[in-house]
Amino acid sequence: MNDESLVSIVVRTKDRPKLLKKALESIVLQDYRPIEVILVNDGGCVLDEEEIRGDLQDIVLHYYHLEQNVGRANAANHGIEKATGKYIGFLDDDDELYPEHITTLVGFLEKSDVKVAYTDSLMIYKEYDAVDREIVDAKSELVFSEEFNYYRLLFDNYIPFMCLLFNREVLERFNPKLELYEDWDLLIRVGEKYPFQHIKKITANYNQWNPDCQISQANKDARFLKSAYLKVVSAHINKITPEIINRYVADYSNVRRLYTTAVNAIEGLNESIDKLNHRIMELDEEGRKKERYINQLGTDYNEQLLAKEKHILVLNRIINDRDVRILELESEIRKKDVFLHALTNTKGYRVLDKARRIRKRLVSETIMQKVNVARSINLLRDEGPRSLIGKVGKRFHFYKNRSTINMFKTLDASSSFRVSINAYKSVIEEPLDIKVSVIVPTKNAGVELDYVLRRVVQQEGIKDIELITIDSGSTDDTVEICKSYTSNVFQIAPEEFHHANTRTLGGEKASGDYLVFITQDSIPVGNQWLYKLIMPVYKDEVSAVSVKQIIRSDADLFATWANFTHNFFMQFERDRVSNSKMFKSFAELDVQSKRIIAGLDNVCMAIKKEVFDKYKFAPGYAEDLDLGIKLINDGHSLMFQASNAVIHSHNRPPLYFFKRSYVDGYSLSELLKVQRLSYDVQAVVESIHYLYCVLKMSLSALDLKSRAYNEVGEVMQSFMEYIVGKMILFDTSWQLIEGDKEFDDFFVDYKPVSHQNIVKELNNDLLFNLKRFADFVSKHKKLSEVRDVFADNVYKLFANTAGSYLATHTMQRIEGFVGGI
Amino acid sequence: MNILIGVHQFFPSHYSGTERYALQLAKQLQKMGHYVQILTYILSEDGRFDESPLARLYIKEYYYEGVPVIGLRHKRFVDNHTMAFNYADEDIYLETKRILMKGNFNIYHCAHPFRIAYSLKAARDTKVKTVLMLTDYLLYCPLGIMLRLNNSICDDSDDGRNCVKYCYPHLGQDVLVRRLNQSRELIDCADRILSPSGFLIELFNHTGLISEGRFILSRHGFDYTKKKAIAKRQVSDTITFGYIGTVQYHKGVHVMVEAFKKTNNPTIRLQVWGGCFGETEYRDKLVEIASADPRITFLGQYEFNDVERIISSMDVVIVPSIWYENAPLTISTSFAFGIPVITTNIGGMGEMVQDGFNGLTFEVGNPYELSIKLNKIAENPDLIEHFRKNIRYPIRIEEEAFNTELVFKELLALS
Repeated sequence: MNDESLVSIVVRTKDRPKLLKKALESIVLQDYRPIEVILVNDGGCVLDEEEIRGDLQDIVLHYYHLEQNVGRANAANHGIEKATGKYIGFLDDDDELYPEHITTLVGFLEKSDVKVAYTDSLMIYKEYDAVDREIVDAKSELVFSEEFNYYRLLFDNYIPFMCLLFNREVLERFNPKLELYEDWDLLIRVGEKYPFQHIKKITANYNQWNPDCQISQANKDARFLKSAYLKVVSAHINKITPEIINRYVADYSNVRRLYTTAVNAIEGLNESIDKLNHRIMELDEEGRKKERYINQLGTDYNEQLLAKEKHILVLNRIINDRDVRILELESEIRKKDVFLHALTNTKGYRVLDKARRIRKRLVSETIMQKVNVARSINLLRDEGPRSLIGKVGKRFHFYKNRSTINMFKTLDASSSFRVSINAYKSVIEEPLDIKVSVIVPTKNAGVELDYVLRRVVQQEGIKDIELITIDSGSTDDTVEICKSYTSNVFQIAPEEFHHANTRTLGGEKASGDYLVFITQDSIPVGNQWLYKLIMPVYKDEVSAVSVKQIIRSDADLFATWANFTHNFFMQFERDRVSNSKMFKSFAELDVQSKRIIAGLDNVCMAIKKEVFDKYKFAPGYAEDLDLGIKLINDGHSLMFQASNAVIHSHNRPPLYFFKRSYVDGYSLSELLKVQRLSYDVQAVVESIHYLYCVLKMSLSALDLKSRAYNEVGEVMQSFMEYIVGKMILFDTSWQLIEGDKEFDDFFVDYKPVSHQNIVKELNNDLLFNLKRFADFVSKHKKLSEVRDVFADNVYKLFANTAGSYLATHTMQRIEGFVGGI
Repeated sequence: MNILIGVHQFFPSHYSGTERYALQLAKQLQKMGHYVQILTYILSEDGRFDESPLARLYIKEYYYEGVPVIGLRHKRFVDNHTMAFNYADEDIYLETKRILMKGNFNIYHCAHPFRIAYSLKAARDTKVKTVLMLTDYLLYCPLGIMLRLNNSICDDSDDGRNCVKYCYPHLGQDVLVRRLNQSRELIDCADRILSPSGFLIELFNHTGLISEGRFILSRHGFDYTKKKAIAKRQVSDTITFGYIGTVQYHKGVHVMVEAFKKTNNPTIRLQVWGGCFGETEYRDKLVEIASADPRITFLGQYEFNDVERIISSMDVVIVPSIWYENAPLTISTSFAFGIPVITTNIGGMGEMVQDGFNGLTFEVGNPYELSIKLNKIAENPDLIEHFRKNIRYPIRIEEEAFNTELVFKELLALS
């Protein structure tokens, strides 16, 4: 670059040729031209001028070797006088400039009216490294990077001299009387007339030497420095006005404040560090404790592990022994099989087999039983106890217990979950090439029917699904929804509807080989529900199948309890197959066993069409249970699947449960041949009303928000005590207490009368049910959730109890209870 | 059964998908006669806490909608980053053991292992049968969504190398490797592992972290109690396409807007519902791009309870996400209301929607292909009814609970 304005750099040197070389190199590397160097050798050693010229290349050198040392100020003045450039800068022989130094300054000055500008420099602390034996940069930092402030300059020289570039017009001469701080003195004089401009850019290195490195006279003691400082200040004392002093004091106060804040902050940090150190020590100690604890655990664990391993060895030996025994037994079995095969293929056996069958038809079972007992005794005598196992014991098992049979002892417990495991993985090996008719009676089914029907038609694994709906007078979108899924939509008048007959009609309309009956609100679970339902029937393992009912997510508390209780009563925890081999006489079974064995439920059931056509649903209530009983008694097998399900439950008002439980109780007693008592209907209803009034009074007296109650059980206990107490203190005005509206309306035509035995029995039933309900609720709910629904649930429970009681304690059928169920 | 359900955060302070899953499952299992309690981690310091007798934890016990909850919080603050990269937590381990033994629980169902990962170890060591439900990819991907910070899909961590390269440059690979090893340890604690989508199973199988055979597919149940009507397509000259969700880059909203602008059919409309969660620049830019097209309207934030009403007012819902959505609730909700969906052909989205059967799919991030699909429906509105008929309604909460209960029963039968 060859710009117009010549820049003169005055370099003073004395006895530092190597450092001088570096300084001059930094001038050669400047990206600005033209430059001239005014080199003033202030009485130092002889320098090789030619070599220096060669080093400076295109830069003009004016070399002046002063014979005597004249001092820094005079040497500088000599340089100024010899300089010819428009701009003059200075460089000591131990400092260095960055290549853009002159360009930066000239670039600014040429475009400005300012006469003096300065940049920043890095202060480099040099020291001698005794290990590597060389001068190294110990530290570098940016200092003195401040904007021009004349009053500050009066007190302190904060501008490194080599960072300055002067327009020669304004550059005065150094005061030769000053041995030190001559540059500062010059700056004060020039700066008074011509303000300097600071350019915030680092363009030079200002080298500071460790006293051990210096060979010059830089080691000046403090007194000398102070004296030199005061000389300069004194020379310009007239410039230090009161205003300047005031500003300086203000600055000092600020600095002092900042310093105090910094000191406080440091103290605070130190405290925090102490605390953290302390905490670290605590944590270390905790860590050591944990480590000891873990080591101890490890030791304990290892000991336990050793013991377990020894035990495993023992068990392995036992297993090996048993394996050997199994092999031996298998061999024996093979031999027995061969023997049996030979035996059963003899003429004699075949003849005797025929005779046995004839005898069975002719001779009563009782006699056969005696014969078998005699035979068993003979076996026992001849061959020992082992002979009975598998031969006689199994059959005897069924004779000995005529009450509730826990049939699950006869099933392998794990086998019920063979189906369960497959319930959530695909069970379809190959789709069944069959036609299944799904029959759904409908009436005002609501929006969920769409979900139910879509689920049905999208079932997987069945080739042909025929959906048949029979609607009995819907006034909403039910029929339209049905038609969107099937063309088999049949409609009957509302008065023609009957649970049994309408379903039978559906069965007659069906063209599938298999029938499935569901209700309009039975939601199939999963996409393989139908496949799993049909498969056992398809394989002829059973004749009919029912599935579990899952409580809906919006079921109320009473429905939840009812569902749970029903599942518990019916032992709906595992898949099971029931058939006539489980009992001697169905009639002699208790009610629960009958229901468990024969329980078909047309909320969701499947049956082979040809079987259904033979029996159909009998016109009456509980038509599904009735069908189940007939099938069982005729030797068919029924299956209940706990691993397959529909979602089904109802939230109903108390009056519904009253009627429903009556109808169920009456129907079940007819079907299951349970003897009913013959109390007077009027008396029973009046007693029910009496107890209902007691309930209303007890509920109104019960303060559910009382702090005395923390648990549901406590509330129920108090409530039951209230009931017992109020029974004695009955008042007819209790009729007027508002209870459940529908119940209140129902009992309008009945007086509340205590027919003693009836009320007592009814109350006992109620208290029993209340206790069971409370036990269930306590496990799942806290009191605060139950408060608002407590009364409603009590009424429902009461309704359920009263309806069942009415059914089982009266003979004639009450027709008025039937409607609406 | 006594069932403890573990989840990383819970109501009332947190109420997103996984929390809703845990609450729904708990309530339904309660209805089915089981005792259920939630174990969770509490981030907030509000309220009264007791001290754990065993571990350096605070405990808060409360009820939420009838479900008993026990919440844990560290006494010393542990940030999410630490918990995400180091599951080891002796305090959680000890406290979970105490809870399991005291409550006599026989099943521990972990709905999300974040923050309470060592509860799985505690359950295993207490010999409680353990089921782990994976609702996202957190055991494999620290961000949980297999989407890099530069918004490109991640298929493989390459033993943590890709994690360092794309998402965590300040961490060493050893940290990621350690994390994966810890994930493997936790997976081994589970007796059964559930997944709500086939895609997640495939992904974990592909990464080698969990083999396919260890999974049981168990789809999330939908709450139908708010569905009061069947959505019927009103006879109209216009077809309303809709988006509902957050307006953020990884949701692909820009792809959808660009695609819509490529269509010229005046009979179609696009409604965009959702807030932008701080990505205002992104949303503003989209609004600006769409401003010239009167067919597109941005309708802003919505309340959670309005979701079903909004979706059921649309003819077709668009889910244009550019990451591996697992079991997107938007698609489930749309299907629950019989609304067809156009979505990206990746992840759980591509699993739920079969192109041309119950909706349409398009190549991820390809607005051109999406515009073709939009035009296809615009020119053949009868397709909407065709898709509606083929939609399978998502399973219900009761079904999910039933399936889960079967898993529990099977485990207990085997013990």
